[in-house]
Amino acid sequence: MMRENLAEKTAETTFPDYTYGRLQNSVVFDFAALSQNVALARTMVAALIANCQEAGWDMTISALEEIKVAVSEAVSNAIIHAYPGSAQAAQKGCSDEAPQVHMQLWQYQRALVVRVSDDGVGIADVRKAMEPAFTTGQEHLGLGFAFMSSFMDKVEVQSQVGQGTVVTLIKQI
Amino acid sequence: MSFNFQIKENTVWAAIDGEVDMQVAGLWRDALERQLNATLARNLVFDFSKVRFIDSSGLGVVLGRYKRVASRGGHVRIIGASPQVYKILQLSGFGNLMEIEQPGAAAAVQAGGRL
Repeated sequence: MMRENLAEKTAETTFPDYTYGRLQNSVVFDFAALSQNVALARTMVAALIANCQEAGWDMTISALEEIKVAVSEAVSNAIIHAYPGSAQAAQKGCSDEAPQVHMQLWQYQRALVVRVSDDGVGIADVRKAMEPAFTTGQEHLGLGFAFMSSFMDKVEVQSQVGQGTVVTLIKQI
Repeated sequence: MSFNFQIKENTVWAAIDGEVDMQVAGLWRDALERQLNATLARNLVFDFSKVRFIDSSGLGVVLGRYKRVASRGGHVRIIGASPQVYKILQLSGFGNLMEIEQPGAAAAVQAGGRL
């Protein structure tokens, strides 16, 4: 399951994309690259899904929990890898100049799209970074992208060294 | 979020309450290391019955402690995982390394009532 064809899932798509029906809601959410904001980000997505459920989506609890994991992985990557040293800097306190993570949510009739982007160091070799068990750290599993692609229907990663990374997660409803 | 440790015979019982992500992972790892450093107990049981969420940051802590305990001939067991947490543990291949208790009917009902 983990070794599904990632290449197939990473074809570039730009948004808005009306493949998934009418756009029903959109949210833009920027936050400092701090570890306490990972929970905030996944809670925001869960809250949007709760709204959609009331509007008629029929997502299972298990799918909701999986989306929360995927979002958590994308945001954790942005904080840990895009801005090395930001955790140490954050201990001295947050400032308006603190590195930012950008999150955009699009609620379509037939899909939820979550885009997590940063202005950090970028990924030199996206394909390699997405290989299961590829890791740059001792206590990191290297399963972040594998979870994202297992739990979402599509994962797209665009990155430029020195410019930043854009990760787009799509869950069809 | 809270940690709770107990030592019974040859086993450290480690319970954690809350959402285990990168915000919590470092603190939890340090707390586990302190416990393991302070005892001769060889085995480790993770009580996950109050874990509402875990991602790869939390799993990294589990794997790191597994490596330590296994290298000294100890066993690692995970109990009380919700169906969702159980699934992510299996997806990570942890089932090949440690004994993971299957979610019971009670856990399934609990998870079913979460929305």
